Amino acid sequence: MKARYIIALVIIIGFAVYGAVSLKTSLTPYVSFAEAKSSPQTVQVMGELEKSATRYDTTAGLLYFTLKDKHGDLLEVSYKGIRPGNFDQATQIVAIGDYKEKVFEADQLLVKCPSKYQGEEVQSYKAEK
Amino acid sequence: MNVSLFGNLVLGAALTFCVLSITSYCYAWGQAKGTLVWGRRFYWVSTIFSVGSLVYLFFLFVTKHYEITYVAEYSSSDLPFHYLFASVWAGQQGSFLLWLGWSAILGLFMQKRLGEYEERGMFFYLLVQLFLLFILVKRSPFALAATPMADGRGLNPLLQDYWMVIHPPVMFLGFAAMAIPFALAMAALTRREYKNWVTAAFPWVNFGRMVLGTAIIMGGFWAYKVLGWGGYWGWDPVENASLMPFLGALALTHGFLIQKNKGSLPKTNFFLAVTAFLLVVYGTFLTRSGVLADFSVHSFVDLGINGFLVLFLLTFIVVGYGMLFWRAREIKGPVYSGPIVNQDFNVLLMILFISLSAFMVLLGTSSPLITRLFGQPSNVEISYYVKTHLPIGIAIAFLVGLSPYLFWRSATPYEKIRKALWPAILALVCAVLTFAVGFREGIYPLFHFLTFFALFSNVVIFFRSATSRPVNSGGHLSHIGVSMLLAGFIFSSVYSQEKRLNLTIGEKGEAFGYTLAYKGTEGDLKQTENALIFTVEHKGEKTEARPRFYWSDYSQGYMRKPAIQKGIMYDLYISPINHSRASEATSEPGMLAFADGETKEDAFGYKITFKGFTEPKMNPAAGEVSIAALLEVAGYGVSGVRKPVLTIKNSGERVSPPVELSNGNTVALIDARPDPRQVALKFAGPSVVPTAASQDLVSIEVSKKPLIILVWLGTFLVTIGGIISVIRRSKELPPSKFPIDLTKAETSSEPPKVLTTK
Repeated sequence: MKARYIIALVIIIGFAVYGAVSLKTSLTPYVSFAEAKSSPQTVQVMGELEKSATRYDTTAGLLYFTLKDKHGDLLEVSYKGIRPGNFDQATQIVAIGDYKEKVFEADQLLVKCPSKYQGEEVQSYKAEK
Repeated sequence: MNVSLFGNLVLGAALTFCVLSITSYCYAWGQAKGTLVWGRRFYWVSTIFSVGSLVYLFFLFVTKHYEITYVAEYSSSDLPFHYLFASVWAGQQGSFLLWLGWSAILGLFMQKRLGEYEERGMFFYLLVQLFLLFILVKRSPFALAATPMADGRGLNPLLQDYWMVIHPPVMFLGFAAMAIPFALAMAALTRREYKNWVTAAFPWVNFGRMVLGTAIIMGGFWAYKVLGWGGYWGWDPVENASLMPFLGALALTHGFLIQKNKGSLPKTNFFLAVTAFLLVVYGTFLTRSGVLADFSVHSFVDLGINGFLVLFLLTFIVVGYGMLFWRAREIKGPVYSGPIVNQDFNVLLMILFISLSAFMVLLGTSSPLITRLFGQPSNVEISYYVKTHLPIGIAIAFLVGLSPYLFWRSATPYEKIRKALWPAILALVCAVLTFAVGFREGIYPLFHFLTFFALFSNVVIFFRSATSRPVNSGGHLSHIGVSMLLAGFIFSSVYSQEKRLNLTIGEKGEAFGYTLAYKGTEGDLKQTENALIFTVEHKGEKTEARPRFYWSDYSQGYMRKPAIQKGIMYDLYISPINHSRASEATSEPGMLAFADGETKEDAFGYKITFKGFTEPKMNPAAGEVSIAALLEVAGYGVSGVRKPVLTIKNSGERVSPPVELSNGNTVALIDARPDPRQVALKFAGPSVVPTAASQDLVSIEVSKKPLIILVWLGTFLVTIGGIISVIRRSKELPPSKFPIDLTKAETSSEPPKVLTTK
């Protein structure tokens, strides 16, 4: 009888701790470009697309583009994968990833587009491994 | 009468009769038993109007009433008829209406076999419909457009798939069903009767669990087949919102088992019944209020119903948990005794792990809301879900594997071990074999063994029970399915391999022992049938693969649909990434087309990369616009950037001044296209000799998904197992009261029949 409670309690406490630690390490906070450059962890940045600076490296399959935040700061982002279909119409792009050697490597993009009827639409794209 | 007004009147009538029905049931709950029959009558009328408004909305789609905003928003005149169903539930209002329709229909089935739970059960059940109707009346799908349109906007091409015709109805059927155990739990709590409600609610919990589980995997199958990122599950908030109530229902199924057999866990079951339903409402709030707009794939728009949604959620939290808290002290069940390793404790641990899974998903999905309280809202990485679910998955595989042996209560421990021996040996052989052929990532070999063991153990007990008492075999069949699902999840995701190929016409590429040759395209880029054609050769066998690649005006972008070669051991998944076609002008000597970012190693002796464009320069005074291409040039003693300019005058005249490369060679920008970015360049000078290279270039990703078939097969078995369980538990219900004996209900003064448990 008691043993059961103890087993169940140990499992719950064990998981609570494990869950809390996993959660804490996997949180990806929204940060400014400057913070993104110095942060060692995975973060989210948001900005407008600087349309002229976009290029695609076909051989490596890498998309490079530059985001501009509301302060006018610039951040170059690389993304391994398909160039999102609605990329050029994007009003805002959220990139989730981390900063490595002068470029922000995005694992995931959320592309916000103006939509005729609904104000805005958001679509997500995941990078290849 | 105009169609908008008519639709709104139907909704208004549904709301009116819903209120009347609630009021009648409320009176019947008191002493006026005679009003029970009025509750039923009003409920029937309300149902007719609720379902009628859904049918009417569909009718408006069929008859192309584009003056209705909702119709214009999700359909167009060129949309094939069968996708109009998908249009009906493509938007928020339509899916609320679908939910309402299912809820109304299920209520008819529920009502007839409630016995003495009827008036209270129906009262709480109807509260859900009341809220849905409030939302629908506030944000009507029948609203007129401010400016009428001749044609609709069309349906998102991603939703133009038959899975999107059937997946949402199944999902909302599950959501609607989860209100039934909640309503019965509330009825039981108000009656201070904490036992028999389990019998009345059991078939519905099984039903809700089965339907939600099936719907979730249907959605996954759609994602796998249509979206082309290679997976079926992405831990997106919308997916999680459907997973959470499913897990709640799954935990409740196991809780009911214990209460039916031993009478234990009455409080837990009340808690789970309330929670499973609240997770439906919470999921609805998360995905429809716009609170997660910055964090999710799906487009969430605030419709101005957030107040309602919050009220919806808070009401049911207060009513549900409040009622349980109020009665908690009275609710008592027998306490366990006996050995630690027994069936009940095994099931109890199962409930614990399923609940932990639901809690982890809840925590992760809510993280933007939780972190917002402390500062910057943060989302969690997908790895969080994978990390937390690995131990849960291993524990569940272990418990599912153990369950058959604990099921034989009469057997001695020695007999149990003897029974487990063959499945264990077989599982070990399979685990070693899979390890030997290369499936050996981290702790996963242990996971493999446990899922194989769970599979074989449950196959054995299933055949025993199916031959003796088929109606009791549902659980075992579901466990076989779950084992397959777990195996399918692990192998298809952990051991998925990807390879990218860049091919020009006629070129061959290798991936996982397959030779792919690109043959060219078919049709026009603007047509949905446009496909990239590949021949796929494997061990002498030649097949054709046609991943789709086309331009969508609706999405203003290229749509990509993978080609999947299904197999038993693995699927070969061919996903198009990019396709660039040169302009027609390339036949001229010295012309070369470059796709965005493309590098040509030998462009007349130069290595040239097209890096993009400079900002276009407008010169309104001269009536012209100029743009320059950024070229990285190396070779023949030069290395640097060249910017050939193209100027287009208002008259349409184009000026392309040549730019010096070296050795008297020049390059000029002849044509520039924005989407997809590409340029046509003209080279001239002594090094220029004509080439006949083809410029049609595709990038594809080829991936191999081992044993993904187990995911679909496992789901199929879980669904069949679920249906068997629903049938089994329905047989325990009191007999149907229909056709209603109206005279009796009105005049009878004796209390209705009491539900009995066996």
